[in-house]
Amino acid sequence: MGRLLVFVEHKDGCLKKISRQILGYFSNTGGENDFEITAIIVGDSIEKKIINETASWGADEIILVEDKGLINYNPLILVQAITEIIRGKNPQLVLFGNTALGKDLAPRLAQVFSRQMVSDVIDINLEKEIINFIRPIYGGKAFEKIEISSNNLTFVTVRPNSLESFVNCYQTPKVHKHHTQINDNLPYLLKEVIKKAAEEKSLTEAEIIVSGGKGMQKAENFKLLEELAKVLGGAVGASRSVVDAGWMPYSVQVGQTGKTVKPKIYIACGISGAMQHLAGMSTSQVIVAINKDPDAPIFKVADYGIVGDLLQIVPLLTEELRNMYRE
Amino acid sequence: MKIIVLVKETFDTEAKILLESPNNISQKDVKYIINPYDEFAIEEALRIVEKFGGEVILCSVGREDSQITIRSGLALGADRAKLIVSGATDSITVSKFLAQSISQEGFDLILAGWVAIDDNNAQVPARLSELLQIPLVNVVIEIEISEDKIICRRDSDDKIEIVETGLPAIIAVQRGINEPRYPTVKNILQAKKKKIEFLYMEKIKEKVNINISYDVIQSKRKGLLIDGSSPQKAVTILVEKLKEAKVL
Ligand SMILES: Cc1cc2nc3c(=O)[nH]c(=O)nc-3n(C[C@H](O)[C@H](O)[C@H](O)COP(=O)(O)OP(=O)(O)OC[C@H]3O[C@@H](n4cnc5c(N)ncnc54)[C@H](O)[C@@H]3O)c2cc1C
Repeated sequence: MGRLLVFVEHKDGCLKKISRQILGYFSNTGGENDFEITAIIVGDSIEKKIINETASWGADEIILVEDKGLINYNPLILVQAITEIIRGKNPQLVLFGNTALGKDLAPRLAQVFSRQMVSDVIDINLEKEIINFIRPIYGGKAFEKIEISSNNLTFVTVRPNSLESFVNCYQTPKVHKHHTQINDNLPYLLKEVIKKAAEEKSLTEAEIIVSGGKGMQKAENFKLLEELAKVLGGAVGASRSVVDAGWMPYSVQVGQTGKTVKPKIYIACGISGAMQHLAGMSTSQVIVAINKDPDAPIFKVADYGIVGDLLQIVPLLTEELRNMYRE
Repeated sequence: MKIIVLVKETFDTEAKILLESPNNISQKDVKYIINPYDEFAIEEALRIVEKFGGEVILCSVGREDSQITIRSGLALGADRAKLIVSGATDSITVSKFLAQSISQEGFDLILAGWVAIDDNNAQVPARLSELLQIPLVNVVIEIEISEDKIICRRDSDDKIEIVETGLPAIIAVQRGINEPRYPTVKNILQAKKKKIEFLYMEKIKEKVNINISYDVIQSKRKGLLIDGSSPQKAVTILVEKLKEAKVL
C-alpha cells in the first residue's frame, strides 16, 4: 500500500480550489493503484467545516496541526511539522498546489530529505510501480515528461486547474492531531499581512480571465474588461506593456515575468501575442482573441478570434452574455 | 557587505525550442541571456552595496561558455564571478555545488531570482537555505536593510507578507523589486578585466531512477477566425461557439 500526503490549503472556512482538485483527482485514481490519501490541515483553529469538506473529497486520513502560533504563515514551523509527519507516514508523494505556499514549502522539504521535487506539474499519472508527470518548461514552449519509480519519496506542486476534475467521494477518515513544538525564537518573523485589492485577487485560480493589452489604448478602457469579467464571474489580467504603462498593477501581469494562468477561457483583448505573453497563458483550455490586426500572432494560438475593434466588440460581448445569463 | 548573487544562464526569451532527440533540447544557434529574475537580484545587490559598501560576487553553475553571459553580469557592475563548470542541471546537484563553493567563499547575504525561466523549477534558493542552514525569504518585491535586520515584502498570491529576518540570509526576488540598469560603456570595458574563477565539478550520477524526455508544443487550437466588420454578428457567433465548446 502506497501513501500520498496532500497539504490542504483553506481560506474563509473553505478548501481552496486547488486542494479540492488534488484530493478529488487522487481519491478517484489513487485507490485503484493501492494508494491511501493522508491530508494535512494546518491552522490556529481549524473549523469542523474544513475537516468535513476534506473528508468529502476523499481523504482516507486527516492530520490536524493546530496551534495558536500557526495563525500566520511561517515556513520554518511548517517545514518542521511536515517533516515530522513525513517521517511517521513514509509517503511516496507529498503534494502541494503550485501556490505561493506550495512554491515556498515544497522545495525546502525536498532538500530536508535530499529528494527530487517536480515543480508546477499539469498532469500526473499514477501506476503501481511508476509515476509519470508532465510539466511546462521554457515558458510553456515545451513540456518535460518525468518518469519516477513510485517507491521513492518525491515532492510535487500541481498547477491550479490542471488535473481532471472528479466528483466528491466521501470517506470516513480517521482524524488525528499532530503536535509540533514551536520555537519562539525563529530567524524568520512574519510582521504583517496586507490584503491585496479585490480586483487583484487570485488571478491564478480564476476560471475565466479577460486580459487587456496595449490595444486597450488607455487605463480607463479597462472598465470595459472589468464589466465583461463581472458578467462572466472572472478576473482581469494584463500584458506587460499595460503594466509598464501603469494602467494596471504588476500583480495582474500575465506572462513569462508575470503570472502563469490556466483558466477555462482566456480572452485576450488588444494583445499582440508576444512569446513572453504566451508563456503565461498558452495552457488555457480555450483561448479567445480580439484584435484588429488579422496577422497578430495571438490568432495562431487562439481557438476563436474576432478581427475587429475591441472598443466596439467588448461591450457587445458583455451585453450578449448578460442577456444569455438573464434568460 | 559581501553579497553573493546566484546567476543562471538561460535561453533568450525569444528562442525557439527544438529537440535533437526526445531526451535532448537542441542548443544550436541559441542566444543566451542571464535569467531575467537573476538580473533583478544583481540590481538589488548593486544598490545595497552602493548604500552600505561591500562586494558583489556572481556565482553560477553552467557551461564553460557561460562565462560570456556571466561577463554581461559583471558589466552591470558586479565585482567578480565564480563559475562552476558542470554538466549538472538538476536542482539537487546544482544546489550542492553552490553550497560548497559559497560556504568556502563566505558571505553576508545571498540574492537570487526566485525562478529560472528555462526549467521553471524554483527550487535552488530553498535547497540552498536548507544546505547552508540560513533563512530564506521567497518571492520578495522589496528589501529594506538596516544595521541588524532585513525587512522584506513578499508576494504571496492574494496577500503581501512583511517578513523580518537577519543576516546571513538568502532572499529570492520577484519582478517589481527594481528596474535593472543597463551596462555603461565604462563598465563593459572594465568587465573584461574582472576576474571569473572557474571551478570544475564532476557530474554526480543520480541515485534515483528518473527518466526525463521532452515534447515541443504543436498548437492544437481550433484557430477559427471570425470577421468583426459586423461586430454584433461576430459576437453572436463567438458566444455560440463557446457554448458548443461547453466552457460557458
Ligand atoms: C525578458 C522579457 C520578459 C517579458 N515578460 C512579459 C510578460 O510576462 N508578459 C507580457 O505580456 N509581456 C512580456 N514581455 C513583453 C512582450 O515581449 C511584449 O512586448 C508585450 O507582451 C506586448 O504587449 P501587448 O500585446 O499588450 O502590446 P503590443 O505588442 O503593442 O500589441 C497591441 C495589440 O493591440 C492591437 N490593437 C490595437 N488597437 C486595437 C483595437 N482598437 N482593437 C483591437 N486590437 C487593437 C494591435 O493590433 C496589437 O496586436 C517581456 C519581454 C521581455 C524581453
